[in-house]
Amino acid sequence: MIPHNRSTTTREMGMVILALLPGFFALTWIFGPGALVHAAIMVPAAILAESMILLIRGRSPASTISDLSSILTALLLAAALPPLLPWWMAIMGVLFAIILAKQLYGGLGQNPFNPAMVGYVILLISFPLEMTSWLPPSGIEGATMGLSQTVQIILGIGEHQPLDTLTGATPLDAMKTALDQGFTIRESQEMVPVGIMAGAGWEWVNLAFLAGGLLLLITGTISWQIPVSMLVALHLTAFFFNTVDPANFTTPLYHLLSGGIMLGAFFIATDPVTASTTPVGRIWFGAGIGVLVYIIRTWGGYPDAVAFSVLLMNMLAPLIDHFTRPAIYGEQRGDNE
Amino acid sequence: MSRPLQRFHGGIHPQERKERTRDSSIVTISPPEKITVILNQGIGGTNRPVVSVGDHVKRGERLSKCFNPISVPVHSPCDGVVSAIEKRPFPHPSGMNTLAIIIQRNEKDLTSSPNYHDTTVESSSRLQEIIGGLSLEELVSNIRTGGVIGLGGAGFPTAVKIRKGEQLPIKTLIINGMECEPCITCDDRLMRERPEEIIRGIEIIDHLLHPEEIMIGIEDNKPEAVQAMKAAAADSRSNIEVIAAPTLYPSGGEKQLIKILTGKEVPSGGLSYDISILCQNVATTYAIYHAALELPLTQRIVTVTGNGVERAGNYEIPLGTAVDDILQLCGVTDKDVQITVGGPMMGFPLHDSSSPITKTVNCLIVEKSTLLQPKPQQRSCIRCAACSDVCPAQLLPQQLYWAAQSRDFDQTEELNLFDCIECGCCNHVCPSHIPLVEYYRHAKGVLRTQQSEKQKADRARNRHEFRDARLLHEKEEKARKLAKKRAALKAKGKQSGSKGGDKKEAIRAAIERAKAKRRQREE
Repeated sequence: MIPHNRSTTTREMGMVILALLPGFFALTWIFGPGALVHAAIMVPAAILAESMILLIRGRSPASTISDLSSILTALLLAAALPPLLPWWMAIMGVLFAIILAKQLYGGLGQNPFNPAMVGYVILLISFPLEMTSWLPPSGIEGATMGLSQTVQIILGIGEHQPLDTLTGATPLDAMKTALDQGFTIRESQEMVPVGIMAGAGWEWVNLAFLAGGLLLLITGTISWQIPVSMLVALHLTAFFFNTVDPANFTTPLYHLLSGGIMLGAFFIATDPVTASTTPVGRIWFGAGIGVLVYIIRTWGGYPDAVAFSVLLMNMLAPLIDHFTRPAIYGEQRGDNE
Repeated sequence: MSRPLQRFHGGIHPQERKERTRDSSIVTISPPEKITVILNQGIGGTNRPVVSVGDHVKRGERLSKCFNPISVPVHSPCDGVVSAIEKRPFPHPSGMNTLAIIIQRNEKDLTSSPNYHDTTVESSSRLQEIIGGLSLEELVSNIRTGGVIGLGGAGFPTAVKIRKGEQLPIKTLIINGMECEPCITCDDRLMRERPEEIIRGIEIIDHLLHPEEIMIGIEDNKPEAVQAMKAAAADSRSNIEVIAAPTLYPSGGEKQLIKILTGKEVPSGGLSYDISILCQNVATTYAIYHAALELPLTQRIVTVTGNGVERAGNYEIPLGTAVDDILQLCGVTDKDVQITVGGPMMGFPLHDSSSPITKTVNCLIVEKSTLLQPKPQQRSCIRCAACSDVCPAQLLPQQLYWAAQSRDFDQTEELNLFDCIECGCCNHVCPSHIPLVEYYRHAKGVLRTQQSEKQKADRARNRHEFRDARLLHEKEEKARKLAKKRAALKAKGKQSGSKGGDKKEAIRAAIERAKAKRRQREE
């Protein structure tokens, strides 16, 4: 009876998937078709895993799969994985994401942690070498690896060069290693493939995800608080250290356009299920991620930190919600009379 | 004169769907052969009938007595004979039955006009003369015994509101003509067709409460009503400001309207009196005018609309007319229809179409079951908080939902569940199509039951403790009397004298004690 507006959960999820396209395009352009191959493997795996659990739980898989959330989780994880990661690791990641992080908690809406990031972190801890081996940004010179070779490497079939001759550390990783070894920024930049604003290639990937993120903002799919506060917090923290000691701390722009920042800010941290839900709470939530990313990147053991930061803030989200409950109608009086 | 209007938080723009009836003039319906007058008064409990089966009743005759201060009597809308007093279905979300007086209409009553409106409207100055001849108490009493309650939906007795307003100074009187709920146009028509009577009603409240300012708020999607009310207000002795406010659901909610017009907020858990404001709906004001002239409330205007109705429109219906009779009158031929009482946002499904129209029924939406769109599939809450963005009470509907769903009712209270006005904005925007308000209504019901059970238990314990104390006291008293008697008996041998005086003394003392105890108990 109630006249309902046309917004549906399926539509919102579909919008996010659509907004991922520029990012996938940039990843493919710069690093070859690895992300697409991963997506092709992981999406069916996610659907199968979710259907299986739903059948065990006695629910109808078709009606739940159609909310598109498991497909979105698989795509987000695929966008975050190194392009040549072996197929079984990718599938393992998606199984952990769907089964452990989502369905075991009761399915969509019940999970306290972002499923894609749980899958990512489990892979990162289990296979640190494979998870930090990226292809060089050869797309910039117009020479990425072909589709058949990518498929062969990912599936581990056919003849191909050993992986470690093809891949290397990401700019973020290389820069961190160099800084840890006592080099200054200027010296490090000699050793790290640098682009115009940040790590070579990565800046374009980040700008592409930013474009998709802006689409989500314009269509009202996500609210501005989380991405803006996260980026501003990261920028301010980086700006502070960079101003105090420019020789040893990289610029804010470098941080903003490196690693998985834009993917994280617009697509991962904004997952409504695991984020803070109050307007003010969202600002704290995003800012927390931004600061944690900087701390872990600069002083932590891992080169990138979006996944860890998001999971840490997921833990705090209920607490943040509790303390940022907005004043209800009739509560903020006092100046009425 | 323009006034800076404020905005309340959230709100939505649902499809208005008022086109179908907004241009249909009010059609007055004669009483049907059988009238079912419901005695249930909602929070005021159930009235006690003062007529019995076989009694002849006249139109406007009082049929019931009420003992609860927040209830009003009901009246017969026609001349006739009481044919039964029994439980009948009535428009209520629960679908329960309640006590009703069934009246068989006299044949000849059809010829006499059932419509007050045919009596000429008294002018402003003439009305002053009439009400000037009454004491304030008599005037309020007329409103109460005239059976006037809030006709906007809540059904709170108007006289109680006015009495409360007399005790506290009321600075602002707000007349609610917003009618923000989709589909409904009965207030719109009333304002367009009978603005003078509404204004006269306002003058009566003005006479009783002397507010500093009087405002009529009307949503700007009703320009004709604004014009009509402005014209009528211009002829009034009272200084009445007619304000067109932006259309935004639920601007007709009392708290939202107060915020729009005054910028003030009713304190959480409080009432509008707390900030010296009194709100009345336009239809209520209209009824106040008639009640002051000793014409009790026996009919109301109802919008009948929906795709199942051939002759949609606004009908002035005698209270107690069965919905079935109205459907027949409006050309509902399809038996397979779904009827909603009230608007599409806040209304509820009617379980039994033999239910009569009551004072709070402002709209009937009749829809063919075959044309009903299938309910969209309910999905999991993804905590998107779209509901928080539109909630006019600024609650966190999504968190309330999680708490209600996990039966953590203390937490729902903590999240200000009772500030929810059940407007349905959250339902409207939920991308997962969760019927959120149903969860809140359920949680409210559970909490209210808990509360009343606690009260019951407290009362029982008090009663028990009191009984124990009384028994103990009686025992002591008996012993003391016995001792006294013995002493008297002993003394009797020595002298016989003022025995009768002693007894009287003892009785007086006992009465004193009983009085003291009662006082103590009442405290």
